[in-house]
Amino acid sequence: MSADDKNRSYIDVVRDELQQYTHSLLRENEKLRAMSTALESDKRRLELEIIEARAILEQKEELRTALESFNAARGELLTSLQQAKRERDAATQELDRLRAKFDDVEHENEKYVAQYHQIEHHSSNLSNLYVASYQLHSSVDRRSILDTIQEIVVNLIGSEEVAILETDRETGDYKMVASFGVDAARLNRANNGSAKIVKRVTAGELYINDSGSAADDELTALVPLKIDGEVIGAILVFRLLEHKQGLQPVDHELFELLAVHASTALYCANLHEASALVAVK
Amino acid sequence: MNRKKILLVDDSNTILMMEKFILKNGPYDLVTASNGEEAVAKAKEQIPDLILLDVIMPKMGGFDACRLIRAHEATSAIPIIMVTTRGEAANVESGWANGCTDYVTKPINTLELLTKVRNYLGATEEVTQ
Repeated sequence: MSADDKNRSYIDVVRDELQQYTHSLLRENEKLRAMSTALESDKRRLELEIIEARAILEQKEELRTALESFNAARGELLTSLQQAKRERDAATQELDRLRAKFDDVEHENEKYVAQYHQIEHHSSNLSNLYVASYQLHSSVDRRSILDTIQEIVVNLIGSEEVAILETDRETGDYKMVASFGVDAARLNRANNGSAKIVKRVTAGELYINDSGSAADDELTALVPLKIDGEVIGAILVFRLLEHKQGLQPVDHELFELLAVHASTALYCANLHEASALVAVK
Repeated sequence: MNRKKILLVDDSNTILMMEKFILKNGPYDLVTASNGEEAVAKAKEQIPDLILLDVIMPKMGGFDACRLIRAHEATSAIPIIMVTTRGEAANVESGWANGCTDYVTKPINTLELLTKVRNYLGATEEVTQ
């Protein structure tokens, strides 16, 4: 084999090897290209995953922030709730205190209303007594005083059956000098033929039947008229008005007032009348 | 203060004085008459806001006076409270028939009278004696 042949053979070998090597490189290159493509694909996938992960992280961060806000708000709410509970407790205590105060005020109010009624009642009683005594002493005219006594019995005590007796100085007997709703016959019936009333008048004691008389000939009250212990007459009160249910404490006081003031008023009127007669003579 | 005028009618000085005592501290101007005729005349002349009218009086009784007051245009709407010793139903019925608005019985109960007067006059002031 010549050197050319040898060279040619070597070249061929080398060329073959080069071709093989080139093929090998091309295959390798293909592999690498495939790998590169796969890697590119992986890279894109990973990038997407990173984006997703970032989004998740961002969401997580948002959730964490929201949770923190929620916790902060919850804390504030809990604080507010506790504050509200404290305020509620304080309000409940205040309410209890106000209720107790209201009860006290209501009780006090009831007490004042009762006192007001009592004062009104007392005032009314005093008015009765004042009016009675004022009227009795507003005149020295005998007729006027007798009328006033009857008016007091009719209008302030509440009986339309009243008689006024006076002692006859000459005979010492009692005679009816004024009456309203009672006539002599009625008086005689009440006297019962046995001087029942005359005995009471003579005794000079105030007689009061609190439940009021129901019978025609029974007295509700007998008010003696006395001057210096001497009986000069009496006021006889028979039945009370239908709507008047018995005598009240103020009626007792009116009877006592009449016993004193009607006596002196009548006595003064009699003196005045006598002095007028003397003056005429 | 819006004062109201009340005409008190009674032939008894005792009752007139008692009514004045009860009403004098209230926001009321009090006018008096002693019989039905005078009551009718004063009602027309004074045009009171309320009349307290006795039933049995000389010259003219309360029922007749009440009817005449009701018949007169200027006084027809004035509330009239009859003040009577007779609380029986028949007597009260006569009062309504003659045009009275209400009635109180004698002896006068202060609280009852004040309540009725305040009710008809709408006064809220406390009346004390």
